[in-house]
Amino acid sequence: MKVALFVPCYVRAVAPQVMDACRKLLQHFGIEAETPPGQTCCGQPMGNAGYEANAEHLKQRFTRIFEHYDTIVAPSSSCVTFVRDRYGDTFKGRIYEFCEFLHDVVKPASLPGEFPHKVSLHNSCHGTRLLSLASPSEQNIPYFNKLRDLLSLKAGVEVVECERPDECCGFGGLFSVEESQISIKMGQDKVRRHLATGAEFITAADSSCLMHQQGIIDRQKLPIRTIHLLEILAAGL
Amino acid sequence: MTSKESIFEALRSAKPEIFEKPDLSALKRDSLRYDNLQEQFCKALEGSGGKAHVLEPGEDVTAAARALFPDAEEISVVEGLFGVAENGCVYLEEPRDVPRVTYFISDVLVMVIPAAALVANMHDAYDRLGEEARGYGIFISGPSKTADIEQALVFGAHGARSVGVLLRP
Amino acid sequence: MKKIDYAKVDWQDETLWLVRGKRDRLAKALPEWEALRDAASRIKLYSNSHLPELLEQFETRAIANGAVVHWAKDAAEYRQIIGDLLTSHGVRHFVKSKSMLSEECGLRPYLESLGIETVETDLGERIIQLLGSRPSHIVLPAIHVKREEVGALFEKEMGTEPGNSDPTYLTHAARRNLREHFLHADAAMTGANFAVASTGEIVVCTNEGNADMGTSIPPLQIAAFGIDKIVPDRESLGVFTRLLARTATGQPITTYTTHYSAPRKGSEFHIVIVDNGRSSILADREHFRLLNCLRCGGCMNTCPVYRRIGGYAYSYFIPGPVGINLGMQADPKKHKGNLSACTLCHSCSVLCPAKVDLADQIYRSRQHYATSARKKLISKGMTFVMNEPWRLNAALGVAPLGMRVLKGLGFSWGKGRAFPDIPSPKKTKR
Repeated sequence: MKVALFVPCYVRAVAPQVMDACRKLLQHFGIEAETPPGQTCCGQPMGNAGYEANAEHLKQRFTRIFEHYDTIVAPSSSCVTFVRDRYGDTFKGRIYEFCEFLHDVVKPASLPGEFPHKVSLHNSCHGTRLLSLASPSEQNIPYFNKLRDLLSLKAGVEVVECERPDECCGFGGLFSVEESQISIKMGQDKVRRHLATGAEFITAADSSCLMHQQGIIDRQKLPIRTIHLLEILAAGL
Repeated sequence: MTSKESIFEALRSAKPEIFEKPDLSALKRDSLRYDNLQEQFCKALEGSGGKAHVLEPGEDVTAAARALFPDAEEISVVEGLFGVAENGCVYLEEPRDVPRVTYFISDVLVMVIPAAALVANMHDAYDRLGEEARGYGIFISGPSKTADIEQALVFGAHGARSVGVLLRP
Repeated sequence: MKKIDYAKVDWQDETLWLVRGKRDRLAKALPEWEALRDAASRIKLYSNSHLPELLEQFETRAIANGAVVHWAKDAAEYRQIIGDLLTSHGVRHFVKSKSMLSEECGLRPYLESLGIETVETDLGERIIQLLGSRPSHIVLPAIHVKREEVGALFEKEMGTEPGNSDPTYLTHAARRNLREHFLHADAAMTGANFAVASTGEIVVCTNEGNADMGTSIPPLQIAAFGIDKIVPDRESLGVFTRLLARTATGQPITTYTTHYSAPRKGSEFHIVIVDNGRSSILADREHFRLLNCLRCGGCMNTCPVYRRIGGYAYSYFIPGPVGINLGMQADPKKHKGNLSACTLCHSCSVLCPAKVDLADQIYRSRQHYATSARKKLISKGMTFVMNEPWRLNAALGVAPLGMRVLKGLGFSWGKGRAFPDIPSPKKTKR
C-alpha cells in the first residue's frame, strides 16, 4: 500500500513534529508514503469563514497534486472533512484522517514503546460529529472512540475524558479571531475541565484545538500540557 | 386573488424537492415495550409529580381520592378514557357534567381510568384514537408545572397543584 | 464582535447545560431515539413538500368541525385578522399563551395600539412582558432573569413581599394574579405546536396549563400557526409528542397536550393560517429544511456559544443556531452579524429532533454574507499566501520572527491566550 501524506498548512506551521510522527508510524507499519511537493492549503479556513469561492485556486492546486493517489491521509479532522465534502466526489472514500486510517485500515494489534502518563482525551467537533471518530454525546448510539482504542495500544497511557467530553473548545478557525472573547472563554472552560481530571496532558487528533488550548494554558501558566495523539503513538518508535 | 390563493400560488411556484411519506410501522413495532404496563404507568406518573392508586373491587372512588390527598379542601374527580405507560398521562375528552375548565381550575384533580385501559406509548395512544375528529381531547401528565424562574421546578403554575389517577379494576 | 456578560456567563451556561443533561438522559432511555428523529425529519420533509394538499385537507376538516379558517400571507394581514376579530367581538381583555408566531408578527404592540389589553399568561412570557423586554430563549423566555429580579418585579407589579425571591412563592403569586385575568378575559389565543391535516385539529403543548385555562372560559378562541406546523395525521403526532418535550425540557411529555377541533359549546373557534415568508424558505434549496424546525429550543441548550452569550446577543428575536438561520431568511442584511456566533461544532445538527442541517446552513449563509471586514482581510491574506507554495515558504520563514515581534509589542491573540510557538522552518524539512 502506498499513501500520500497531505500536510495541512497550520500543522506545518505550528506543529511540524506531528508530521514526523505520521512518517514514523507509517514506516513502522511498513506503509510506503509520499509527501507530494507544492502543497499549501486545502481552503478549509477560507470556507468556514465564508470565502470558499476565493479558495477555488487552492482547490485546483490540491486536486492536481492529489488526484492520482488512491489513498490520502492527513492529521486534521477539519481539513479532511472539507476535502471530503467540498470537492464534489473527487476524494470521497479515499481521504482519511490519520487516526481514522490507522484505526480502520491499518488496524494495528500492538504498538511498541510506552508513554507512562495520564492524558485527557479531547474529542474534537469535526472528528466526532463529522468523521465519526467517536460517538457524539448528543446521540443515542453505543459508545465508541477510535482515538481511545488507538491510545490503548500504547503501554503506560492512562486515558480519561473530561466532563462535557465533546463540547467545543472554542477555536473554530477564524471564529477565534472574530469572536475572540467567546473563543477564549470557551477555551478557558475546556482547559479547566481537562485540568480537573488530574491529567498531565491534553491530547487530540487536531493540532488546531490543541494550539488554542495551549495558548490558554501558557497565558494562565496552568499545570497541564497539550500533545498531539500521534506523538504519543509514535513515542519510542 | 384571495390570500389563500396567493399562498398556494407561492407554495406551488416554490417547486420543492418532493419527499414521500415514511412508513412508521417498523418504528412503532420496535419501540420500547414494558412487561408491566400498570407498574410503568404508576412510575411515570410519580415522575411527573402525580400519585396513582389501584382501586380494590368495590372500593369507593370519592373515599380513595380523599385518601390520596387527605389535606385537600376540595377534589375534582373526572373520568378519563385511558392512560399511557411511558409518560403517565391520561387522555380525557369534553367532560359530560361539568365545564371543561374543571380540569384546570381545580387545585386537586383526580382522574379515574379503567385499569385495563393502558397503552404502552404515544404511538399506541394515537392508534387508539384513530384519525376521526373528536372535538376536544387532552393528555394530562401530572400537576401543572413551571420552571420559568431559574429552572426551579414549581407545581401549580396555573392548573392543578396536585394530580392523582385512580385505576379502576 | 459579541460580548460576554461575565456576571452571568457561568450561571447561564450551567443552567442550560442542566437542561441538555435532562434531555440526554431521556434520549438515552429510549432505544428507538435515533429512529424517532429520523421519522420526525422524514414526516416533516413529506409535509413541507406537500403543503397545498395538506393545508387544503386541514381547512376542509376544520370547517366541518365548526371552526372558522382565515389565511394571512404576511405579518400585517395576521395582525389585521386578529385585530378585526377582537374589535368586532368587542374584546377589551385578551389573554394569550406563548406563541413565537405572535412575536414574529409583532402582535402585542399592535393590539395595544387598538386599546386591547393583552396579557401574556406563560409565566416566563409574563415576566418578560412586565419587564418590557423580549424573550431570550424560545422555550425558556426568562432564562436570563435571576430570581431576585423577578422578586423585585413582582413586588412592584403584584405587591409580593419585599425581598422574597423564592420561586414557589413568586410562581403562586403570579398564579393568583393571572387567575383574575383568565376569569375576566373576553377572548383567548394560542399558537399551535402541530396542525393535523387528517382531523383539522390543532395541538397545543404546555406545562403550565395557561393555554388550557385561557381557552376554557371566554366565548372566543383564536389559534394561529405558520404553514410549517402542518403534520399529516395523528399517527405522526405519536412521533412528535415523544420527541418534543424530551428534547425541549427533558420531560417524557408536556403536562398538557391539547387537541382542539370543534368550538367549545357556546363559543367561536377561529383558526389563522400564516405564511409570512415560509413559502420563500420552501423555495430555497439551501435552506428549506429550516421548515422542519419544531421550535423545541434544543439547539439553543446545546450551543456552546448561545449558552455563554445568551439570547440578547443576537439581533433576531429567535436566538441560537435556528435563530441565526431564521434571521437570515427574514432579513439577511439586518441579521448577517449573527453568522459569526458559531464555531461550526455541529452539536445542534446532531441533536436536532427533526434533523435540521443547522450548522451546514450557517456555513452556506456565510458564503453569501460577510460578517466583518477584519475576517475578510485575514481570509484574503491567507488565500494570497496559500495560492503559491513559495509565498507560504516565505511566510513560514518570517513567522517565528513575526511572532516574536508581536509578542514583544504586547499583542495578545485576543486577551487571555498566548501566541503559539512557531518552530523555525529549518526543522520542518522532509
